[in-house]
Amino acid sequence: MIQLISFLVIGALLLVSLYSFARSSNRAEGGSGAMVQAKHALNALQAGLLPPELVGRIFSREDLEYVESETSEEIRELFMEERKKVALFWVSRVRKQVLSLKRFHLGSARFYARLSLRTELALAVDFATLLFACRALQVFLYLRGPYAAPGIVGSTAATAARVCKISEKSLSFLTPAYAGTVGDRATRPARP
Amino acid sequence: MLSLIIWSCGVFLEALLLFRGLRAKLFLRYPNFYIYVLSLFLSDGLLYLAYLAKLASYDKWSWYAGFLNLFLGCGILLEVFRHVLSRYAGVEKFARIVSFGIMGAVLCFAVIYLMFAPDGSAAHALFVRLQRDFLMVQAILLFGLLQLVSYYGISMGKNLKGMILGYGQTLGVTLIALALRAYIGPRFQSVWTLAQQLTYLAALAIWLVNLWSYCANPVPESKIGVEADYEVLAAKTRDMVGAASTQLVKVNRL
Repeated sequence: MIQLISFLVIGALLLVSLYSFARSSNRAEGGSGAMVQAKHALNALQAGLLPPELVGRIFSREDLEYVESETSEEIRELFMEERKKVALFWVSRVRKQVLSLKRFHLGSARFYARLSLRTELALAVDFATLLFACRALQVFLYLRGPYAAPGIVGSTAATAARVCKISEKSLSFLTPAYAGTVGDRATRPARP
Repeated sequence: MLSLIIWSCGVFLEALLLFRGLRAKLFLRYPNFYIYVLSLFLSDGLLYLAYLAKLASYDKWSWYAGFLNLFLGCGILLEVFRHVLSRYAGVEKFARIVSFGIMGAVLCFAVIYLMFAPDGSAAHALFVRLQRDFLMVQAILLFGLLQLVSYYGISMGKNLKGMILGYGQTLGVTLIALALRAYIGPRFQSVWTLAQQLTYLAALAIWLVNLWSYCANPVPESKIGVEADYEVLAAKTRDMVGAASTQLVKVNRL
């Protein structure tokens, strides 16, 4: 019986994998385009999503206190709804950029003959854990709202900033000269 | 009767596939795949004639052809290794080590068993068992390969994609049907035969469409530095995700 189940499971898994394989695109990834994308992701995180003043402003309690003291209950609810949307959007953007960095690592690592199986497996687990943690944070914000735990926002921003700092080192071999080269190549029209 | 019609359709499609392979000069590009198709064409064609002529040696030769085609089916995986993974040294290294290890083990088992098999019925029993195990190994390999291709974002041309899709669907359906036949028994035999023939016909149709003419694999734009860069890349990325994970876990505990 165990043998039957294992054969059925492997057969079914193979057919499901083939289905997603058939639907995947033929776009070549991981080249200069991916490096530029990773660099953009890093810039977006550092300049657009993580500055403390911006994060502080989005999740500021002062705004909530003002709305609570000066306006009606309906406006307060509307305000909370909007802030929740902004918070969720912010986390999803951070998660998206972390995914972009992950794609960059995979796109670069696959070319190296000295690729280490153990390191890659460990990294795969680490990335999965990090992305899961981001998702959990999204759920937390969705259920409890942006003001439920003020520490979360600051910590998340700090975490993402830390990610950026280390990513920047990871992308350091994109020297200005080389980054310029790949940037130019990425903006050219694709070859037939 | 239906079985014979499907059989003759299969021989026709194999011949057409070989003809297109010659015309489009795909034979030279994918030799392992076309050796497999040629072997299928010769065995199916000759066995078809032997079956119609009611030759006594039909049964014996059908088992031999079955063994040969089972083994040559790996040619498709070899083509994927040769054409796609060869561009990605790291991924290719993993795939090669694992594949040769598993293939070698199964082949050794088959050879040793055949050497000590007492008679023809043992060869039949061996074929059924070996077919199941060998297909299982190939299915695991193909599944692993598809996961690697998906994880590292490796893209393929129409030709190789067609080879994998055609062979993969036959592999998956045959594996499921084999398991069900072992469980249900002789009652499932007619369904099993029909399912196997239809999926094989579907595979030939997929191959014919995707291998009608040559389609190059997308070339990845890569510019890598020295090998030492990998250690730097891996270490930095690992630091990055490790630190981020620790912080996020703390955040979630708040």
